[in-house]
Amino acid sequence: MSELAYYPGCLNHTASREYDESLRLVADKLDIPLREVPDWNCCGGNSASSLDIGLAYTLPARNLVQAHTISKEVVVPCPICYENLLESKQELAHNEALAASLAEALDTEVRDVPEPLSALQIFTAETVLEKIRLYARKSLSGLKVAAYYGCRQKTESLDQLLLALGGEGLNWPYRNECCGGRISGGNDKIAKTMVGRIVDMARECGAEAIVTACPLCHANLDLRQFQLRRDQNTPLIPVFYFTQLIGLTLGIDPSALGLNKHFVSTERALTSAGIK
Amino acid sequence: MEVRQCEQCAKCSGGCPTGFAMDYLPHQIVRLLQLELKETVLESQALWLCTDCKICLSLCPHQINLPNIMKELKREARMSGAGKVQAYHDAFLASVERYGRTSAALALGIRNGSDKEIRWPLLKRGKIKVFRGRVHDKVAMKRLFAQGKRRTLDV
Repeated sequence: MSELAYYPGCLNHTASREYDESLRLVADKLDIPLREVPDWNCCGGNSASSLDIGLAYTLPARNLVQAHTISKEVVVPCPICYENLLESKQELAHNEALAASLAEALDTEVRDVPEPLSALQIFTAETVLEKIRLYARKSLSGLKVAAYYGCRQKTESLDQLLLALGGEGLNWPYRNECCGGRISGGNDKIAKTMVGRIVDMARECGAEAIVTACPLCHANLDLRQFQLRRDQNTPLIPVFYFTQLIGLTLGIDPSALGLNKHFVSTERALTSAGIK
Repeated sequence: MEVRQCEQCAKCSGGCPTGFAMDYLPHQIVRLLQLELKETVLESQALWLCTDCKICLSLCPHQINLPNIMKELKREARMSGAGKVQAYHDAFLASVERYGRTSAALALGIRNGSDKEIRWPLLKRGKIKVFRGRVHDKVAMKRLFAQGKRRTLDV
């Protein structure tokens, strides 16, 4: 496979560092060569689109321009970053004034910017799933996992991945329920209520673990659940990034995958799956 | 305007994940817009509780794009100075303007109040950093933000 540009995004260097670390390790094992976009900047998150429509397009666009030298596609782990980059590319395709002002600001030509691909999309392509089955040294069998897609990912690919990992996705109703990650910055109390509802439902449906592909969902579910613990006496449910689950079945060391960076302990789930 | 098509079935409000905390529910926001009471909407707290999760859009029998309307209204509220623009968004963009990237502390909103207690656990895990990563090409970032300010003044 030829080299792909990789846009980590702000959270993957901080709050979701285990997503970044596990993704790089797994990509390496599965022969998907990634190169970080040089000098990348914030995509604008939820704030640029709420406050300034111009920046909502130009901030992600600079990253597309920076990724241009590496490959025709850029891999984006965070669904919010992914959406921002994609909308920016779509707008650039028909908005000539935007392309012109961007070219002026960046002092470069803006043409044929790369196509954003979500990391989930890359790792659940049929060829990659086949490779995972081939390389797997362990299996998730026995572990009841709730695939949590959040508000941005309207697919079934986490469930397909769970099958490839030897497990089975739980049938539960809140797979696309919003976790409140996008407003938790200014409204943490509301976000905690939303997280409580989602985790309670997962528990009621018998989940022993939750898997996600979004840094905001993960930070929100893992961290806020930990914060909520004081008020409840119920067992906590560990939240994994899908890249961590792939890594575990490939036999990568759990701490290298960043499982020790979580707030909710993953020990019990790993024991239940027979991985530890 | 597409809000005219709304017949107040209130499915959007039934599905809205933050409806429980809103001063006006999504279908009430649309009703206010139908009645041309936009000022009330611009000052509402509901505007800033929309997570843009798009569940309302998927439930709407007329496919009214309420998430987009909400985003437009947020920008209008900021421009006209109506209501209270969430300080969070301003702080977020100010951080991107200054460093080119945002900090996790900002993105997760752990700056004050009850969240102070989790700062140390986050620092210990390397999830918030004392020295954040930043963009080296400061000139490019400065120009992008200057363009943004010029656009705002033009409107």
